[in-house]
Amino acid sequence: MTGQYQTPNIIINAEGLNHRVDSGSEQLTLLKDINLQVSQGESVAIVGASGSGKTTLLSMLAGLDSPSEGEIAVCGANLKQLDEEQRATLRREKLGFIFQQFLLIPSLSALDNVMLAAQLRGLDDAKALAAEWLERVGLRERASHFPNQLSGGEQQRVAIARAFICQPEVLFADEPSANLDADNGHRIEELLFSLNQQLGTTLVLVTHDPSLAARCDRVQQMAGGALSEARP
Amino acid sequence: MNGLSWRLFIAELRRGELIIVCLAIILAVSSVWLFSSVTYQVEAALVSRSSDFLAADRVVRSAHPVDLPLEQQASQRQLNYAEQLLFPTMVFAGDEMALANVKAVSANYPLRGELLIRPALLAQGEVSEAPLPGEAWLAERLFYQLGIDIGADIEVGDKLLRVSGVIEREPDAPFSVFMTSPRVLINLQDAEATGVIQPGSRLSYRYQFAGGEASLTQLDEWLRPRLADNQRLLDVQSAGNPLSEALERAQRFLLLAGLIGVLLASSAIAVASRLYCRRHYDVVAIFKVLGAQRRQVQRVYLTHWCLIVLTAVLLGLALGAVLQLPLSRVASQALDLELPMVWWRPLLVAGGTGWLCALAFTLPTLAQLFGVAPLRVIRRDHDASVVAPWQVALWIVLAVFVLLYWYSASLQLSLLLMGGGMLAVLLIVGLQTLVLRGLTRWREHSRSLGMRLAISSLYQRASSNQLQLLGFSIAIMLALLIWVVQRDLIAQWEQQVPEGAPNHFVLNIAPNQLPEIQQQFADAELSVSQLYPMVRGRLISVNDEAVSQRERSDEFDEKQSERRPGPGRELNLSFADTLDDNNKIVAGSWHGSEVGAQASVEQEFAERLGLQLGDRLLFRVGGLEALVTVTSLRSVDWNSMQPNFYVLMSTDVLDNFGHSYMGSFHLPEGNSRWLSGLLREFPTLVVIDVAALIARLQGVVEQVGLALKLVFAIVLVASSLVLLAQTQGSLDERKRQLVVLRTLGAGRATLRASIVWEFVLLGAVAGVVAACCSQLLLNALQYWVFESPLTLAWSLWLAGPISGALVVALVGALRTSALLKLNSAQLVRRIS
Repeated sequence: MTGQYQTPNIIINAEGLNHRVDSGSEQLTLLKDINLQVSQGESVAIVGASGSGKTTLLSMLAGLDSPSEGEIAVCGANLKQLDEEQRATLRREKLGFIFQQFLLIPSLSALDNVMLAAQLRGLDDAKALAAEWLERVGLRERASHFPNQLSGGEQQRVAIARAFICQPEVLFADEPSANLDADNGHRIEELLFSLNQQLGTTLVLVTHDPSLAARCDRVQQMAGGALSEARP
Repeated sequence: MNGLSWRLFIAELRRGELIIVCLAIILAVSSVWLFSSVTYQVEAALVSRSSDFLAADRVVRSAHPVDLPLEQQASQRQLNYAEQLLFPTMVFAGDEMALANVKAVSANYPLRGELLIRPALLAQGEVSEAPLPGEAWLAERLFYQLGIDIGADIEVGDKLLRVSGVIEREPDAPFSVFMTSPRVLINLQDAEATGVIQPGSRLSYRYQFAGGEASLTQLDEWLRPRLADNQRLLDVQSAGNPLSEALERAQRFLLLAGLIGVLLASSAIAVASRLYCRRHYDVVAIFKVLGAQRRQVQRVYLTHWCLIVLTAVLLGLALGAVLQLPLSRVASQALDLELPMVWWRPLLVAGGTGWLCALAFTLPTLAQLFGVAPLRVIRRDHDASVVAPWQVALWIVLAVFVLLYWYSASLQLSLLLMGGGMLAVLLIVGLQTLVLRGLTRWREHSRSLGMRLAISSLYQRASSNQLQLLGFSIAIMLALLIWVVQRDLIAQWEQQVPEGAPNHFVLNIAPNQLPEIQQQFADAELSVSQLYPMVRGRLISVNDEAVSQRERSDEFDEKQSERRPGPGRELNLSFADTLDDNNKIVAGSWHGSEVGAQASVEQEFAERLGLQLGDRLLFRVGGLEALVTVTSLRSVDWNSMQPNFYVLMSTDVLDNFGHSYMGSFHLPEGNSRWLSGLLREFPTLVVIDVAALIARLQGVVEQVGLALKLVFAIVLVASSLVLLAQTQGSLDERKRQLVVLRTLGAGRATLRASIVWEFVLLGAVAGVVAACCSQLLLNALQYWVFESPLTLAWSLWLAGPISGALVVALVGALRTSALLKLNSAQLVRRIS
């Protein structure tokens, strides 16, 4: 699949996104007429209160969910035209993820968790690459530890290594430091932005933390399902 | 991905669910192997012997000599010909005596198959033909019963014979587990000299033929029209095998009983695999977010599934094969049959069961797992079910039905069992709900915090507990039934026989011996019951409509199938003008001393054959016929230890037939020498010791008990697996609950009490339900089988809840003990 999705300057283009869900007798509108363009290498923060729809928007942009209306193109591929398997291929080849809950596989060691993404991609040197990335995030000594033997900060660093191992074109991060104390949270943010800059990855960051958002090139404000440019 | 899949598998093995799935499949496979292999072994032994089962190609069987030139017909058609005469009699060696089944054979016996005779007790069997005149070959059992060795003399009737061999195998041996006396083989020339062949004696004549198929067909054509209705022509097919029908029933029973265990094991599989899959929903969602395709996910999990099922099936087969050896030995001894090893069929049935259970009870949850959407990583509550609950239920019902049909090979039986099983489950679940509700009310009155917490937990988990409660109820019920039937019911039945009631039956008394024998009883101050004249006759027609002469329900004979049902064998007919207390007229009037060929028929027998007052019954006795009219129906107390008959005729019918007499008497202990003297003086008499009958009945109950114990063990293990699986599923929830209670200041003792009481109560509820069902079944057995008064078995009501509480508490405590050892910090860490 490599090479199938051409990478234009605008790497994410969302137009006219609307999303509604049935909630009992009434219909809830989660996204309202959203338009968003993200350029290659750009970092964009989506901020907003809890329940404003920012995570919903992230899941649409990453191809995890489909909007009721509207078009999304990621890395040149129109998500509406892709089936579930093709979207999985797009995620494997071009996208990376970091979540608030870390989402490591509990029965795999730190090394295996990082290696998983490379193995899915079919990289031959997955193990060496995983070890290298664990070293980059400062966890070489903890490679054989399982998630429940690691602290929250360490788990998130493993998740960052997993996200970057395949050098994705776009990285989606959902509240990456929300579950950590201030110290650990700060370290994770540093790591995330430094790797992002080194690799020139496009970053879409969902957060409710204004100081974290401020480190991005652009900040988008989400309120009541609608998106607007926020003044720094 | 392969290495990763393997590491994931190894890590998962430590979690427990896969081990439970593995153990449950091992249990299902090994139990099915156990039950099926033994029955297949017996079947194979029978099939390998079917060609020589008759010891000939054709046999004419009759209770009376056949007045046809059979030997001449055989020789005209170049067929080999042999004759046999069989009769039961007492044999003596010094002061010892035993009831034996004598077979007198002509010189060229057997025409087909091999007769193996050992020249000494410990020697090898040699292929032999009939014994020489003056010699006798005995079944090994008789040597021990009579305390003799080769070379001893025995008396068979009036004839003294020298024992010269041990029967190792006779081709046409009977296959009856019950009431089979050991064999004595003598030469036909000696039969007359025994003095046993008298009118009214219980004799069976067999005329055997062997040779080319064309000649046999000619013989069939010649014979059939000439044979009377009470003479039967048998070939290998029509003779069938008396054991095969019983075997088929036993096989079905064992497999279906084993099915309870298989289904419970499958429930454990379903519960454990559901837990496993639920825990992996997040893992699959992460896989998919990272770009794994559906087939990659399927490959990972189907590899795990195949590894587990394959390992479990192989281990199950190995375990079954090991456990089978002692069971085969018991079956081999009980049936007196050398059992060959049979591999393929049990392998197929047991292995197939393992794969089918794994498929049916895990695939719906696996399908659900494969369908997990990547969106779940963000929206944890996202649960787009790909398989609807009704589809899962339908799939499982279908799988159970396939197993039922596979095991029973009968659509009707499968439907019946499916319906009956569902009703039984509903009944048990209903009882459980009632008991649980009662328990919940009691919660308010309990002072112990641990107990109140336990009852709340039990109530909270009521629906998930139902399955394990069902399993434990069935397991405890089986255990209680085995216990109560073996210990109480037989003893109760024995006690029912009043003090001084007859304990011996005497048969084969010739009319001319009657006054002398009665005198002997009088001299010994022994009271003998009314002595009934007896002849053996076959029911030919009812109101001129011929009745079926089929002896087995599956015997195929078009001509016979179209006829009205018959008794399926020769009957003992008797004649009387007075009725003893054991017989009560329920319809019509007793003929008394009236003449006019009247008959009184036992009511259940009449019901089975559709007989009514006024029906005309035609019997054939030897070459003669008797036409009688049914003028009364009787109820009979079969437990009275008195001679009882289905058909009692008016005395005028008696005059036409040669007959013997039978009666019963009570022989006080220590009088066996008197009995020995009587039998020596009247060697044609046959005496049956009722104590020996009861001992045999106990033997049969023990064998059935062994089968039930096996089912019990399997059900118990399966239920424990269900409990383990359910407990595994509730561990996280229990941990959270413990943290909350600890935080609120609950002490270790309270926490332990809450967990232990929960399992104790769970077991006790299962025990109460089991006691309830056992009591019902016990009363049903008392009413219908043992016909004894209904009793309330207090022991059941004590043993049920106590044993249930102990077993379940033990299994539950083992699984949760580690939880209680953790301190609050460790608990919090485990939850997070």
